[in-house]
Amino acid sequence: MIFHPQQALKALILALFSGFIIRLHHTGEINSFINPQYAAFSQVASIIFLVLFFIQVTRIFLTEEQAVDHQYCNILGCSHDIEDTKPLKNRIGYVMICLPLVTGFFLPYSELGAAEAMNRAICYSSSETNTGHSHETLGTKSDDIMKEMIDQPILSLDHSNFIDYTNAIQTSPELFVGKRINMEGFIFSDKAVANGHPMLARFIVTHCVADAHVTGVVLSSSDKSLEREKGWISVRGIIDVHQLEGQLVPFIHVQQWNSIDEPTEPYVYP
Amino acid sequence: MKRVKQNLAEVAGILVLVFVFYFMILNERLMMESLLFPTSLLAFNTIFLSILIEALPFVLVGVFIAGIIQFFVSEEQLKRFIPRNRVMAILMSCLVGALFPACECGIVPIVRRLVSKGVPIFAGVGFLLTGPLINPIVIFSTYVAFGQDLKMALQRMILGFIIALFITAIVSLIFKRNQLKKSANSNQLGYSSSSLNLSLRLKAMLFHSVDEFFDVAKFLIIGALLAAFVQTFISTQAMVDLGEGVVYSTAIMMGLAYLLSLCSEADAFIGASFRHLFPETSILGFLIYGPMLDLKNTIMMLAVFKFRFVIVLMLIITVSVFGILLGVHPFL
Repeated sequence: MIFHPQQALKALILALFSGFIIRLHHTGEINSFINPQYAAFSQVASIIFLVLFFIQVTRIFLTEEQAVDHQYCNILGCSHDIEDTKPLKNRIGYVMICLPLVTGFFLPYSELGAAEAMNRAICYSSSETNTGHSHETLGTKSDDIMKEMIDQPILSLDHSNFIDYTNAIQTSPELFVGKRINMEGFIFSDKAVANGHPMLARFIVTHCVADAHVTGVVLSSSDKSLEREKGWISVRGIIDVHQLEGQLVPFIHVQQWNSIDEPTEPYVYP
Repeated sequence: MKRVKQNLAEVAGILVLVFVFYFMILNERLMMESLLFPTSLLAFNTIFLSILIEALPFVLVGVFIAGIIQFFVSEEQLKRFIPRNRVMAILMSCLVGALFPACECGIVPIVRRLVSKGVPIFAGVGFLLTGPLINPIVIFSTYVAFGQDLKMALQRMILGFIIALFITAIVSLIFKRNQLKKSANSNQLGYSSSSLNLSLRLKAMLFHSVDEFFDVAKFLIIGALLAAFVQTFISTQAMVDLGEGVVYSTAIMMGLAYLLSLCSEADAFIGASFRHLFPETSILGFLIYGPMLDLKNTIMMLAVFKFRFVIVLMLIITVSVFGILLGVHPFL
């Protein structure tokens, strides 16, 4: 009976990967990494890892006959002579593979916020060239949303309609001038964005957090303390439009605002 | 005696499982305080893990397909499948890639297996280029990202296909041998796998998939680390400010696509958010270049192919995408 430490290590790593992904789904923390629509993919991955683990376990111990039988050994991929030639390179490989497991199990997770928003693509208006033909190209779904929004006395943006509503406001701001609006989001301001006006925004996660981008509406307020605010706020105000850098940009005239806790689901998913 | 040994393996396996699940439950208390770390490091970790979690399912599928090719497809079958005529072979490899839904990280192990089984290197490249770039999911997400506008999705697909054909043709003229690294050029088995019976072949395929996973995973992780670093610490705005004009902005968007290493299924949404800054040609550069070449898959290719080949291929891809896009710019 021959014990293969390297095969045992591989088995352990496979089991840990499976356990890691299962734990993320179990605790719901998976939502801070990927769009829940695609959760099934990673669930399947965790099951495949578990299956691979069961396959790998059978390689940990070899009987003497198997170890001598060169053909059998080759199939099992034990190929001792190949693996032992570069022990250091091999070891670095395992360290790399264990790295996400270590950071995944031990480091706390953080949600992206205003600080990360600065480094990303930010959307607060649609470009001029697009507003021209937007009415023709937008499908009937967008038209329905426009109608629905125009009919409402107060627009209130929540988790489910955030993307559709901000999209509509950005593409045709002139339709919504004077409309009352309630929305929540994190506040941030940057000199490069909207001439340094504060912006109320949320992250949109299409697939995974790595492709998250920011969308939101520019705020204007006489209250100076708003600009010092960091974190999540809830805003009540009226939509207006301004010319900014040669573009028609929607604004919210803030009437009332208060800071709130970060919601349990900070991201919105298309 | 044999029974005892089998049981021993099973017991070892169960012990590992128990350990892992104990670890999972205990972990609630092991998780360190977030105050101990700078927020940028935590954001970095989140982005790093999310890239991995997103990519792993596709890598696993790629690894399985590579295993199947290794043990269930013979070299003769592959040779019969690929046309003798080089022009036909180029066209064919790009078409097969276009029909095959893959992502840029899952496709590297598949191409490696195909090439080591005797598929010409240029056909492998054609498959590598169009696999992630053109498939139903990518077209649909591009269509949605650009406000249900079919124009961008069609341009991405058609131009991308033409560029891929062009690159494949150049590769077929320059490179003759298979360009795999020595260690990757292993039909390690010194005998034909077709001599094995089915259950043994299945077993071998599964073992092979495990090894392939460990081979690929380390490079995927290095790639994900680098991409997460760029995403956390380098501002896209700073890159955008580098220059104006089509030539500059196309170069910038291509550079951005390379560094961000986004999955081709999601990059259209990021591309669309640059519409108010750059002309359409530059956005197309982002959409076409990214799936063909990025930081993550460069690292993976370097692990499989010879250094010189990867560098030359990167050059060919970059120059072709850049040149062709600027060439068609007046007509877009």
